[in-house]
Formats: sequence, C-alpha cells, structure tokens
Amino acid sequence: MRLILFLFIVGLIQCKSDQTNPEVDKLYKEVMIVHDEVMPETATIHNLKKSIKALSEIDSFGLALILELDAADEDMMGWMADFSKYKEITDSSDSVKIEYLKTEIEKISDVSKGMKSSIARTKKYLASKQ
Amino acid sequence: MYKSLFYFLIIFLFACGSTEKPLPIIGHYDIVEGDTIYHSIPDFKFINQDSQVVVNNDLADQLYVADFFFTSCPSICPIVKKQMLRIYKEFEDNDKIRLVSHTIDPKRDTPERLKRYAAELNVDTDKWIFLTGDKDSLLEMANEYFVAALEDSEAPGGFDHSGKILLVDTKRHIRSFADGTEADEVTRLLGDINNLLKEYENK
Repeated sequence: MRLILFLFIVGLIQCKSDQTNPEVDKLYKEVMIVHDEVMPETATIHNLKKSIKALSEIDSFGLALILELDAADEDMMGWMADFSKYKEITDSSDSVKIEYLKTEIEKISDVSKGMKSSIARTKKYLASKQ
Repeated sequence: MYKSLFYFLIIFLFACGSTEKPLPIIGHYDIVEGDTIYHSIPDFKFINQDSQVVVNNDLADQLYVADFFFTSCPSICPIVKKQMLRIYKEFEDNDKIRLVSHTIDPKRDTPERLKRYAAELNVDTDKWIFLTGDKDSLLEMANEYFVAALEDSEAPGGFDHSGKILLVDTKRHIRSFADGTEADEVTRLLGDINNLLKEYENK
C-alpha cells in the first residue's frame, strides 16, 4: 500500500517536472518574445491602412500595399490560432514539444519579418506621397 | 476622553467617505459655446454570440465594462479573461452593470465560436455579451476606447496588447479603466464600479 502511494507521488512529481522541462520552457519563451515584440504592430498596420485610404487618390501601389498589410496581419492572426493548438500536445513527450516549438519559432519569425517589411514599405510609400 | 475622540474620528472618516468625488470623465474634451463636450463612445453596430445585432442603445440603460480580445490570443488575453471573470462574479447579481467583450479576430471568432467560448467560461450571455463584426470597425472601436485611456496614461503598445478593461457609463463616457493584467488595478476598478453604481443610485 505504501509502495503504491510512493509510486503515485513519484509519478506526480515526474508529471510536474515534465511540464517544466527547461529546454521546453526556454523555447516557449523564445516563441513568445518574437510574438510579443511584433504583436503591437497589428495596430500600426491598421493605422497605415487608414492612412493609405485617406489619400486623395489611391494608385495601384497603394492598393497592393493594403492587400499586403492585410495579408501580414492575417498571417499573425492565423499563426496565433494555429499556435493555440499547442496546448493539445502538452501531454506529449519533451522531444515532441521541442520539435514543435522549434518549428513555431521559425514560423513566427517569418510572420514578424513579413509584418515589418510591409510596414516599412508602406511608410516609405506614404512618405513619397507627402 | 480618548474614546470619544476615537468615535469622533470614526464618524469624521465616514462623513468624508460619503462626500467622495464623482469619478472623472476620461479622455479629451472640447468646450463648445460654454458647454463641455466629453469624449464618448461613437455609434456602433456589431453582432453578438447569438448573431443578433447590438447597437449603443442596447447598452444604454446600464453601466458596462468593455474589453477587446480574441479566442486564440496566446499571451495577454487569458490573464485579462481571469480578471473579467472576477468582475463578472463580483456583479453577477447586479442588473445595473454588464460586461462587453469585443473580438478583434472576427474571421475566426464567429458568433458560434463566441457562444462556445462563453459556454466554456460558464457565463450568462445576457450579462456578459461577446461582440464580433467587421474587422476594421472593431479595430476602430478599440481605438476609440483606448485613445482616451492612452491620453490618460501615455501607455505604450498597441490596442490588442494593452489588455485594458474600461468602465463606460450610461452616457457613453469612459469613467475608469484598468490594466487587465494587473490584479491590483482591477481591484481598484471594482471600487470605481461600486462608486459609479452609488452615484447612479443617488440620482
């Protein structure tokens, strides 16, 4: 009986240490850092779109930029929706989680790059219109 | 002697409490022909978790607490959600106040999904309504809510990450707000809500 209790407690501790594997933790934080850095830029995207639409005449460059900004924003929203599935693999082994998180770092870094470049291009375009 | 002084002090404190200043109206204001025009929440038209249209007037006879979120938000929203739930529970039986959560991801947060989200939270959607609609209109509305709060605090960052919870009165004025990621701030907001409710009772 005591042995069962002992094993149960060991099992519990194992479960717990499973959740706080330092490598998984570190990778998760890395994903969040990239995300948190660029997420506020979705507000910038909205404001830049408004600025283009406020121009007296919108040329094809302007229209293309609106689409580009929309796509960059949607990439971020879509990535978050995908990433929210991470909680479905919390019971998986550390190696599965580590693999998953490494892929997500790449994906969110791409999203970040896409957002930054469309923002930079739009700013340049708007500056040329002034 | 000390005892009576003590009682006097207690009465004095209570007297002070009852003459509490009303909550300020937050945001910029203009003075037009001697009248002060305060920042107010503009007209909106969104749909709720039951696909019914909701406009300002549907909220006009109650105070409400507003926030902006989306169901797949990974970092800030789950923390803010806990604080919104705290406000919900605190005023669950008070029909003078409601909660209004706007999604900023209408593509995924359809009425159906919002309804499921509310069910998972186990909240009554007459009390806590969830709104979706045209994305640009939702973001514009977020700007309208936060511009007032930002002017007040000069807080950096975009609207979707600000995690602000705002208190709106029956005249569409923002009367208080808190950072929804800070439990202490929300405690203060709960106090402000109670004060505003009292202000309405006294009218």
